[in-house]
Amino acid sequence: MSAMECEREFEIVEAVTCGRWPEGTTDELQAHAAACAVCADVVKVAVALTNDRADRLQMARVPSAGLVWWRAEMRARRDAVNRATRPLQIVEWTAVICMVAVLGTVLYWVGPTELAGLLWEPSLAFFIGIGVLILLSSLVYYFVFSGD
Amino acid sequence: MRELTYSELDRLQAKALESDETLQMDQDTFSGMYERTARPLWVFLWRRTGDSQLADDLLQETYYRFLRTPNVFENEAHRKNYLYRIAANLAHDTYRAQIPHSSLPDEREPGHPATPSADIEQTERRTDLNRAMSRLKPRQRDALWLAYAEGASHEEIARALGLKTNSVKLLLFRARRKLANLLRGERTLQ
Repeated sequence: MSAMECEREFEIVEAVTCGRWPEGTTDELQAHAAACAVCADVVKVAVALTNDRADRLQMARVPSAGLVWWRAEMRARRDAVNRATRPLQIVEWTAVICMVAVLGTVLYWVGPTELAGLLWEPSLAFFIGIGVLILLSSLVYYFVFSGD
Repeated sequence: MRELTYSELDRLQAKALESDETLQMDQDTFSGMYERTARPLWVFLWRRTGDSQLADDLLQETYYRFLRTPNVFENEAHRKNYLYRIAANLAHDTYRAQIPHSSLPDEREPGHPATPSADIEQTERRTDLNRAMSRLKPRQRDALWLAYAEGASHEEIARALGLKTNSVKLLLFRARRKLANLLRGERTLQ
């Protein structure tokens, strides 16, 4: 026996949690619990917590097993769909980032002065270029993301 | 971003459900296990969080995570330990996210008798216990509850809380002494 635990501790815990304390136990065990510091603490704590648990169990309002199962099933399906569509979302965002990068590169390459000139005095070639860009973007988008 | 078409969604859903994303137990087995474990587990979560709504949410989350786990359980005790481990971790994460949480359960929550005929002595006893429990660390509360309310062994508590058995012994000793002293109305040395 050490100061931390007592060999009869589990006997007492079992009696308390099974509702046999103190009536259903021997006088000898009760005398031991009164004399042993560890077991006295065990009785104090176990009786308080076991009574509290019994009270709370009567008051506990839990949802039905069917409802919990149904919610879990719905969530599992939603998670599965999210996982399955994740590669698609990655491709979409990659395409957007690529388009922004290409646009930035073109703007950098053209230069601010030339760009301002094109915007103020747009030429036919500028409109044709924009039109081709929009057409190509739409086609790329359609072929990449339209699936089967 | 482009919306998915119905046919694409159907295809993805079918693919997802064919994979290992489904629940790891059939409904009948789950119902039996739920009936045996749900109420004590809810009480454990409520005692741990002090909030019945939060306990409801954590209960659902605990069973969801349990149902998704691919573990093979040796027996009912192993299954129960695992369930309590999920619940304890969830409660611990919630506690860390919501500090400072009083952890002092509200006696006037739904389901508690608030009528004049309510047992005053019982209410006082509960209030004393609530006060005393709120002065313990979350891990101490978990260990005490599992040991003295659920009747779990040191090994079961160790598995449920993810600790070593020797650590559980020390944890229980300190927590028990502190709670016993608080319940006796004495000043604790710790």
